[in-house]
Amino acid sequence: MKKTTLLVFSAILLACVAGCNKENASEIQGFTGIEVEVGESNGSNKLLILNEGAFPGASTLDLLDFKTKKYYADIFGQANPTVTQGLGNTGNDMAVSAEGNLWVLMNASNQVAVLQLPSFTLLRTLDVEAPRHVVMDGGNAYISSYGAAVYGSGTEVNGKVYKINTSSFESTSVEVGFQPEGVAVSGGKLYVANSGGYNWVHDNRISVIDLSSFRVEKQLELPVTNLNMLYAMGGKLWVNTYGESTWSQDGEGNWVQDISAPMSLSMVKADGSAQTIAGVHADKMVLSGASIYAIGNNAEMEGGYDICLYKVSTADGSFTTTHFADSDLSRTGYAYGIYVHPQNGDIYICDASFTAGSKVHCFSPELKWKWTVDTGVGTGHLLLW
Amino acid sequence: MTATVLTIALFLQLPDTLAAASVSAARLVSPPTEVTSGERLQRAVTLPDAIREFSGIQIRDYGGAGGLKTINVRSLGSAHTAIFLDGVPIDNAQNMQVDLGRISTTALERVELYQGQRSELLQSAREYGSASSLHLVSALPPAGQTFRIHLHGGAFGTVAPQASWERGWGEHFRSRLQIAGSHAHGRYPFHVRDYRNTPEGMQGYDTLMVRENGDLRSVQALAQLFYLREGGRYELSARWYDSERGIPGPVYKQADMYPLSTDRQEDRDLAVQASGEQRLNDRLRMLLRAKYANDYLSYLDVSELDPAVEARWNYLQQSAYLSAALDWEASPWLHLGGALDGQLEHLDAQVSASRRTLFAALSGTLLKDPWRASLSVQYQRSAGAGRYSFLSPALLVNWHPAPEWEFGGLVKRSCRLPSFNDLYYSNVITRRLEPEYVWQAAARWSWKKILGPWTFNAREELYYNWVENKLIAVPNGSLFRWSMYNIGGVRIFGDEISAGATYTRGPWTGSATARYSYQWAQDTETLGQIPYIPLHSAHFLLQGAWKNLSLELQGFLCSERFTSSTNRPDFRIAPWSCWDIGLSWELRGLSLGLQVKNLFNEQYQIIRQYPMPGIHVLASIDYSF
Repeated sequence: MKKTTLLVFSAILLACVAGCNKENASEIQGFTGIEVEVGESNGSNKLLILNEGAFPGASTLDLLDFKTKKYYADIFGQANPTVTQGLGNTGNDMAVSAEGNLWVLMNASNQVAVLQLPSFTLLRTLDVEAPRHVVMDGGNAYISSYGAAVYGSGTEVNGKVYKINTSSFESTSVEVGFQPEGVAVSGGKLYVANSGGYNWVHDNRISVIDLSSFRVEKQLELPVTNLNMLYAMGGKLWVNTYGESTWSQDGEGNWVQDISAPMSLSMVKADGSAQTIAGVHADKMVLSGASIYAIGNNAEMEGGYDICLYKVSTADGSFTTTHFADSDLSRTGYAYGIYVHPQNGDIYICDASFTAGSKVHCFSPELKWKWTVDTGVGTGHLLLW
Repeated sequence: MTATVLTIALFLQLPDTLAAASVSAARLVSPPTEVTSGERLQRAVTLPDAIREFSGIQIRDYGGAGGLKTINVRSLGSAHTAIFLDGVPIDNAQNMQVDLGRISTTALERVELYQGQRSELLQSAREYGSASSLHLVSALPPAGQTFRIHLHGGAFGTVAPQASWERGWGEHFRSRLQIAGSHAHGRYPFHVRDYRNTPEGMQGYDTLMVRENGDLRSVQALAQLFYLREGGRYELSARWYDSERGIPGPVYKQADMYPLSTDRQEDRDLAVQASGEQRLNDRLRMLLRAKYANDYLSYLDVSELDPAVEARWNYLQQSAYLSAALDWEASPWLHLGGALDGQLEHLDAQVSASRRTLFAALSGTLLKDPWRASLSVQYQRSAGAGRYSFLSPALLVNWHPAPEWEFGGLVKRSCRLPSFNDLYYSNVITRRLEPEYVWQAAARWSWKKILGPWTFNAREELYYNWVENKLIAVPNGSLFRWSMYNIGGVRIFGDEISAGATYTRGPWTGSATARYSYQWAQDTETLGQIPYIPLHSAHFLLQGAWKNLSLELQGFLCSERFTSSTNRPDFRIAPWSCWDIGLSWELRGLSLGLQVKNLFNEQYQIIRQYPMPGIHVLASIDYSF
């Protein structure tokens, strides 16, 4: 009964909002959402929220509209009710193209979904094997792909980077290292961080691709392995790692994980020399302005649990550490993703759960809690649009 | 044979299981909760089909010919149900999931489900330790000579021939040789559908797909030798199972050009077991049992994107088991029992694991009709894969005040160790795993009345289970990889009610049975229903027979379930109902059967995103001479 009332109320409200704002082309229309307390309008910005889902459960895409303070759950499903099996499985990254389309990488479905904004209608699906990360540059989307690799296989299979024209959807690919992850464009080059996570020996290379020829020019070998996310800033590359661990059995037969290398952050200079930023344990990270914001377990080497937020200056690698436990950040259960508002510096943290609903918390640049919204299952990726 | 001063306790069975009552053990304190035997057991061919009507159980079924099928009794998880073949455990230390689909029912006399434990006067120490147990009892081959050939097939391209030879050798020996094969392509159509309310009305999709990579090829062989003598019965059995199958995986969105799964699995299981029961004197009986099992599994993870890229994972499990037990008749109404078992389990994979476990049990049984009771305690101590030791005490009581009425109850604490997978393969375990503890309390009544050609019966059992340190396994992408999480505590309140009536006159027999089960299984943290347990489930059975022709209609109903104990819509699995109809005809050793399953073509899932087959037909022919 309550639900129906709410639904009717939202519909009336929606009709009113839609009626009053016809001039704005990016207005969200025709969707059912709920009112949320976000306490700010943030201009006309909207937050896209990608919930990975609990495999084999499907991923969902949600939208938070700051202006109307409304939260639209499963906006893809609302816009495309007739698309079989929805968005697909295990969304891993997203980006908006120059045409204003949203590209969503569906890792387990081996597809990229291209959605028109603000209608969220599915424009096209592109086949890309196990897509991981995307960067938009010069009318092209560059997407890293694991290719046909299988964990633990004796056959090591090179990953790829796809170059897909965002208006014609013409596609070419080039082979890079093993299980490529983060991609970044800087100075006419595309940089790709290779993890090698499916191989017995992990990869330590950044593949450098010349954008004009779309060929691998060289591979930068780093002193760290199992590379993950990658950003280019200040003439340097910033790459984090998944870390390394081994398992062994103790005297009582219990299996114990021994961490041999941390989830680290490295700064790679133009000459290929790399320097690990000691004291930063970067599990997930995002570049905003001239800073890298990273979250990770500061006590991982000791087998402890001390989740921290690191704000690293891309000018010199200096950083500040905030312990979640000592701050408002402590309301986060499982920090699974981070995003920073480019204008006002607000920090959004995904508090993910794969057995329940997740949350997104917003903190001010001074790390004071501002608001929280309930999201879907396995919230991992955010994007302002 | 064993002289017994006891009356038949097992008097109250549902119509379809009456055949078992006369042969079922007379020395039990409490009758089994459920029994299936006779023709109905034979017609089922595989164990999951034989027992899926049992109250309070879920058969987890991944669908199709080769889909894994495991049992979950009263919301406790498959690891809390011990499975015994002629008293010897069938187990799996790696994941504690015994695939019931591999067990053929054609050489069995009956299958019994016990809550708490079976309360035989003479039994092994392991039999005292589980929250519930499923006992498979081999049929004793006849004194003469019988050949039997059986063929069934139909749906999913199934062709399954079977041959057996049973004979008696002199006064003391009986033997059985049986070989069975099965081949199925495993394909079946299913619908993927979802509709939602939109401003333009109901919109959605309904797409017809075909289940692929569910093929199965298997061969199994059984050799059994029985030796019967004054006051003793001995058995030697060897079983072999060999199979190769596709693993179809969950159904999710996949790019059109790629299949959902191309993974394969090979199995080769060998088990040899020996057991002997002997009366030593007027008051003392002894039991000895031994088993060796060697189970090999090879999982081939093939890339869906390129069949040339694959990873092979091999697992070899070996288990050796030895048991000795005594039953001493201290007085005509008091029996004292003791048992000692030892088991070695070893897993060879990318990593190896071993576990040594000692089981010891003591029991006292009071047999003073109309009262019967048993008090037992099992001690278990294990080393190797974690050191654990604990006690499992149990009290069973039965009161039979009048021929029509019987009352009973049980209180028990039991425990299960973390499996090798729990300890390692889960990848998320960074600390010592605690064993799961279960407290059970149950009370039941049953009633039976014969009125002319009519037999009526009814039964109800109420139970409360409390689980500490509950571990939940959820399939993670493939059937062989699981993600593990510990959801703390679970409290389970359940009620099982069944009622039936049978009418017999001349060549006519008719019966109707209804079973209903209520299971409220609450996660103490999230306060939601735990994964995969329906609040309501029911079974209806109508049987009619005229001379040698019989017709059967049965229905299964199951309410909604969730894949997470946070019961939000993202995790919901829809309720379902499924109706089967079966027709059989028998004449002088020849029997023909026809079954139409899922009569109304219900599109349903037992495991999320593993679609079950729609309407399908199976036919069988069986000839004994």
